[in-house]
Amino acid sequence: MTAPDAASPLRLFGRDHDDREWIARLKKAEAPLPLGELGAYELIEEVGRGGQGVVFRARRKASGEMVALKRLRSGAFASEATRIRLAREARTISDLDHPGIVGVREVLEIDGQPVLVLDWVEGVPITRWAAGTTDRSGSLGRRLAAVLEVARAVAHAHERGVLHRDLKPSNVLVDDGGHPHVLDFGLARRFGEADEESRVTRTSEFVGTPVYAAPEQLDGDEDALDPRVDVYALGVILYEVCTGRLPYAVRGGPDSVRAAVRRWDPLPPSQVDPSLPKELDAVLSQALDPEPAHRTASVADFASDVQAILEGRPVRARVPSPLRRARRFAYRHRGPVAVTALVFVLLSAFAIDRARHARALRFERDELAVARASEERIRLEAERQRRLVEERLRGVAISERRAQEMLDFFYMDVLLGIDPGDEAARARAALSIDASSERAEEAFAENPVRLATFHLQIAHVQRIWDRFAEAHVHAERAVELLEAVKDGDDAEIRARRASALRALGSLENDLGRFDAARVTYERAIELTEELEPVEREEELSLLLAERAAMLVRLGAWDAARSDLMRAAAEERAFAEENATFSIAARMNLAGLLGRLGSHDEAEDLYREVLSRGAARPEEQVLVASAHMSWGAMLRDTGDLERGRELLEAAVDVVRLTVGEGSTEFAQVQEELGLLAVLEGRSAEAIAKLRFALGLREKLQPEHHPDLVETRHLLGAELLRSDRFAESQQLLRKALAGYEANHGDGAVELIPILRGLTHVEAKLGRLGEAISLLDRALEIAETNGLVDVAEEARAALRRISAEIPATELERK
Amino acid sequence: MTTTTRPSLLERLRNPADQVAWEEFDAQYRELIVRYCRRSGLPHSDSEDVCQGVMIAMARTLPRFEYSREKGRFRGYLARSVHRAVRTQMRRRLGDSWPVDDEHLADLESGDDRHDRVWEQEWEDHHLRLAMRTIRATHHPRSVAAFDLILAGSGPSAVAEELGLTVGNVRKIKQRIGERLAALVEQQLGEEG
Repeated sequence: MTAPDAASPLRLFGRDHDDREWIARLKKAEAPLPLGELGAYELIEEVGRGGQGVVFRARRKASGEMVALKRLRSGAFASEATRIRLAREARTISDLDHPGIVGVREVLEIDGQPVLVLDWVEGVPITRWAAGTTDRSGSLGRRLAAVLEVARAVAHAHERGVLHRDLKPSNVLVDDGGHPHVLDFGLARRFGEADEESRVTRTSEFVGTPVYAAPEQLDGDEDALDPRVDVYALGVILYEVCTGRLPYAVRGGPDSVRAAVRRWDPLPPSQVDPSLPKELDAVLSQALDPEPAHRTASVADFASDVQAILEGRPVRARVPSPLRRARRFAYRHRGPVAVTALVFVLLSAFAIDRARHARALRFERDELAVARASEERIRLEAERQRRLVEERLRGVAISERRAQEMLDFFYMDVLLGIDPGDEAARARAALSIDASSERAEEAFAENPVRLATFHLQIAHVQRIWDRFAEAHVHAERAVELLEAVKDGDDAEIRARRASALRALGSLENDLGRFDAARVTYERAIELTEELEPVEREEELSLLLAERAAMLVRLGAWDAARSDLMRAAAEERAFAEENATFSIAARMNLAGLLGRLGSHDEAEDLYREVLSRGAARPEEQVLVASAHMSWGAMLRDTGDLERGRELLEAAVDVVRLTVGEGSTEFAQVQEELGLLAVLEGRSAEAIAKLRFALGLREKLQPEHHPDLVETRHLLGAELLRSDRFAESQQLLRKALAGYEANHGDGAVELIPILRGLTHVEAKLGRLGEAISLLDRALEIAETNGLVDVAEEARAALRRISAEIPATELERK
Repeated sequence: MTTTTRPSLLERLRNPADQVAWEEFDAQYRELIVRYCRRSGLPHSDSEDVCQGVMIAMARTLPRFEYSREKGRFRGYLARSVHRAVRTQMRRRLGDSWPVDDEHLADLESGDDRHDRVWEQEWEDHHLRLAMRTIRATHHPRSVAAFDLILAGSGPSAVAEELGLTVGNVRKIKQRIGERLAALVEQQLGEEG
């Protein structure tokens, strides 16, 4: 037994005490210290401490009246700039006069330091207030009304030319009467004004609270700031107030938040809480758009939408269909590269897979950067998740929402953060995928739509990793789940089904299961056609273009052409109706028209894309893509001179937007290489292709399809230059790549088998050449490629004629 | 008990970019400094200012602080910095009429802060608070609740009744927390250097 005083925590300070003494001492150590006075005010408690200011609740000694006092955190050490900022905050608030904005009473100077005296609001942050309105459905009106009041107060500030820039729940207090009050204009800035004083708030790094900050704010782009940053913050607050959670389950600094926002659409509120109206989905989808150009233009518009929901009137913002979300998702992920990719789909027989992989590429790089930036956070979070899983295994129930958060985290931060070239990491992750699939099946047994989304997410990841078979299993499960949903006539469910079917069709296509893909695409197209144009967005044109790509692979040119024509018509209708998406949509249409041979019309569209894109700094990657695909189109139609001009311009834009170390840079060099091939400038072609290959080898995993294809291109060009040994080496590597990616019997193998046959023949290895041709013939016959098979037979006959009969027999 | 492989806060502070370490430092020492200033007779706002000044100075010097396990080194350094800042603030406020105990300062600057009873007490309280913060965050909420009642002056039987425990439980809780507190303080002192 320990003697009682041996436990005294004070023994280390050289004294022993009995129980009563050390407990009294501890009590004293923890007792709060009275804060004292500041000028004519008695400080009661510290209520907030931000980057610059400290806010106290204080009582005016003479009158007993309660106020909030704000003084600079650094006090006498404050820089001149900080003082100016506080003085400006005072002036800014004085200019505002609205019951929803906390007013400034006076600005004092105490001991040479500025102190702001503000109205005291007895209230709680709006999110905590909302969480307290327990009866969710009954109180939605009250919560919307509160956010509406906030929006009106902010709109008032905007009318006076003042941006808040730091709206967040702790700056919006709701009083006992349910009325919100906006405070802390500490980061406020006047817009449309660039005087010296405004520059005070310019700092290179981001100031504010990351989850409520608009992406452009996180980018630190001060000049781009306009009322839409406050729209965004209000959107986050509205989301949180209505659903009880943040739109992005991200903890961490600006970098993590920025990455999440750029990559994901938040879950529509009605999916978090089915009692919420669909109109809210629309309003929030628009208010939270990461691109300011697509976001609700003003707080006044936002307010009138919120009011419309309250009054049950239609909202101005469009209800986003799942397809629209899927599109935006795609845009966020692949950016304009995907558009380029789509355009490139049919340019050459072996460029078929470029679409898929160009899309995957941008992904990989972004995700990698994100993963590295937040490794530590992920490690900690993973640890937390592991503990949660353990709890779960111990039979502690986890709510569905929690499970969803876990899965979102798993998908967004863990899976997408894995370097696709890191085999070991992928293998480990595959195990987690299996485990999490089981858990998801359990947790979402009652929610097949959510479960299907999970399976599609997993399919997506597996596909990026080129694990087509595994991806296929998940896509199939998603389709199965969605087809079993009751109330399946709901447009949303049908749209989701179509979307899942397209994913499944693409995967069947990837796996060479063309018959299955034909059926799946057909079903997807039927389903999509039943949707209203506003619901199907670009889905139909994408589907048709994908199927066309497959048909080209199969040699069904006429059917492919008819699909492309329909896709173009659909795309055109879409582009005409959707001004906001016109740049990207026009890119798609231009690509389709180019392939259909309507080159003039395609050129007009490209021209338009470039002129519109020129004024939009955020669209520069798209501009680069337009140069690239336009240039490639001209090249492939024989206008080499203008093709070169455009591709060279593309080099500059790519260099400026994504840099020289990017796969896009490799891509544009490769396009120029192909141009040089057509120009007959073999040395230049080889140099460009070699450069592209070197870059890809650095950036991409061994069998990455783009890398494989570049090897193929370079190998083919070396063959034309009679550099057989080198060519053989590259083409063999490329063949191994095609086999790894598509399987031994895939039609993709035919062009390379053909090239390699040629090399082997030139090197005098006729037996080898014949066996390669045999393989090509077999693949062609199996897949019903009659012309190709005939050509292979002819080649076989020619080669056979060149070698002695004995050798043939031996073979 | 004192051996720890985790780098101490002071070691982490050698990296000026370790924002988390700096925030932790601020959270741990701000209260100590402000309380000391208040007990030295400065009003709250001045105390905050002094504290800010000390923090700025620490940010400048700690990355280069020669870390050693020599006991009391950091404590002495912090004490001297705070005392000097308090003196400066007093002078700023009261002009040269403020009597400065130069002998006292010389003592402090020689590295022995134990001449300053106020500082010594505050420093001990600081460690008790830190340890208690850890306990509140790590112990079972019921134990913490029982201990809080003891702190508030309730006797073991009253605590037992209120929380549905036995008196034996309550005694045990008090003893365990006391022991843990001692262990934590020891660890903190070891890490502080």
